[in-house]
Amino acid sequence: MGSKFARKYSITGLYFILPFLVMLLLFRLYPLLFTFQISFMRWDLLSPREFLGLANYQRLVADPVFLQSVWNTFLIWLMNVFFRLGVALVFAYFLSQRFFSRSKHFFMAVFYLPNLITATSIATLFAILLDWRTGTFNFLLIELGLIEQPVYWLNSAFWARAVTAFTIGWMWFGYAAILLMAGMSAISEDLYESATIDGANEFQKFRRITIPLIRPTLTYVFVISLIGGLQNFDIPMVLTDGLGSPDRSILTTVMYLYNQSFRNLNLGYGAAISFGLFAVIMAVTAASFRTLYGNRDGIE
Amino acid sequence: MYTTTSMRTSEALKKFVVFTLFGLTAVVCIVPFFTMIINATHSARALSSGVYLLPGDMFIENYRTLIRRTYIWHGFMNSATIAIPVTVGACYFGALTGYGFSRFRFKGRNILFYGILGTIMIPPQAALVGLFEFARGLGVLDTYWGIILPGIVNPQAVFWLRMYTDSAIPYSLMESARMEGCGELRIFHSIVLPLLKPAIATIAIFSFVQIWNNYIIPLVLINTRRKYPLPVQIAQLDDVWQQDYGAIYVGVTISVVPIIIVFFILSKRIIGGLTLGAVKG
Repeated sequence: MGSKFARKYSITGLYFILPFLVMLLLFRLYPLLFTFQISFMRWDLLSPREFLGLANYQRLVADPVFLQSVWNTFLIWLMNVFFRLGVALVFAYFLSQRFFSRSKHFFMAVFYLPNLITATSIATLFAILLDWRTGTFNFLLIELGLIEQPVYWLNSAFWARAVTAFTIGWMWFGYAAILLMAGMSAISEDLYESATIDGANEFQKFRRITIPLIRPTLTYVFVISLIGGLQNFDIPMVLTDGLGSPDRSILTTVMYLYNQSFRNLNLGYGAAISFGLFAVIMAVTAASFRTLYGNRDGIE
Repeated sequence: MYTTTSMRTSEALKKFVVFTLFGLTAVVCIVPFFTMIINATHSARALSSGVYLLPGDMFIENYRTLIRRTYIWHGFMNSATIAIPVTVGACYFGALTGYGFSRFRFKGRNILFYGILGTIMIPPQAALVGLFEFARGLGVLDTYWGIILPGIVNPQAVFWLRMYTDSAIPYSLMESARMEGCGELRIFHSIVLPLLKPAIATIAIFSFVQIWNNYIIPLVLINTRRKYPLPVQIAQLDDVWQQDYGAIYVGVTISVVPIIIVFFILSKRIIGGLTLGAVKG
């Protein structure tokens, strides 16, 4: 019966997925392959394209600005990821406790809220709140007696990165907490009970039961943060003049890709940056899946 | 007796500490938005001299200043013009494709399905230069086509709706409809699609939010200020109003408050939907 059913409708299924496949090829894969092709050319929109071979890629690996943009992007991610996941882990742990049943939804909603708001709106808001002369944040710190003179936050390389990292962490910790909490809620109560009988304390239970069992979720959240972190654009773009000032400290790879392609009209080089970024994302994703999952397989 | 009392005390202490921590974090999440609304009601001059906890009376003034030189409501309409067709298209084709994968066996089904899943890994920025040139070649630069058509192609929607169809649509329904002589496409439209509604509603919200908040693609493909969607309009407020922060606060408020309102109406569904991608993905 099953095989008859399968044979009878074999072509029909293809009809159902065909429109999507065509659109995927046309609007997603074609532009991607086209970008790849352009990455071997010199092109400024006006003069005809000129084939350069690997020159754009040779330039890329030796370009100090590109390398700095990769470093900045990585650093901004690094500055927020452990903080973000640490906070999320602690919050998820408490949220999955019984005494939170009533206010749980409220807190989850509030913690998640910043994630839904348009990133450019948040960056614009933070940029004016942190403004040197007129920003509310400086006035607040002065009134609280924490600083005496207004601080020019976005004019310092360290603070510009810290603000970017904080903003991203602030937008994403609630998301991580909710996913980790869902992972924790799926752990069977029996495991904890038998551990309690064996005399394990709360911390031991957390380390020996909770952490190993939510490892897949933890991996997922970590990798998502990494992929998103490497694509960092909206917030540093709006927080600065678009060049990642001061001293290109928050110039991210995607900002550099945007600036080279559409401000300087070096589309060929911009395309090479795209594929450099693509390669980095693929490599890093594969590596983090390997370390995070590989270890566990080793133990088992 | 002694132990139970001390346990109860330590339990109460723990509860107190946790609630304080959560309360403070909740304040950190809300205060920027609160300050945004308060500051939107004060003049730029007042803002440059102190902190305000209560609303002032300059909102209308700031608003007038804002709309005199920006296209904030155009931005709103433009965002809707992009986000609505993208959401409808992503849901419809996601359901059609997910159903096709779920209910039919054909050659290459698994390869195609995992191939589509694999495209989730491609960063959208990687195709930016090619997309720009593609749109330019078709003569649709500075229109919304270059944003809408790629936006409709949403592999996550296909993945989720396939999973949902696998678990929620009984084969017997399709069988009996076929007995009645119902065509395949009609089975999909009048039987399957209504049953997929709960999953579609969740996917619609996320796909809407994603496209509504998108910044870089319209920034590249659109070059007329009046045509920019809201995120680009907001990002450029600073350029238009060098120092008039009261007006900028109003602009940001206009872009943020509707999202907050919609979120509190739909928060259960949104938060429930978050784990969709993680559990099986």
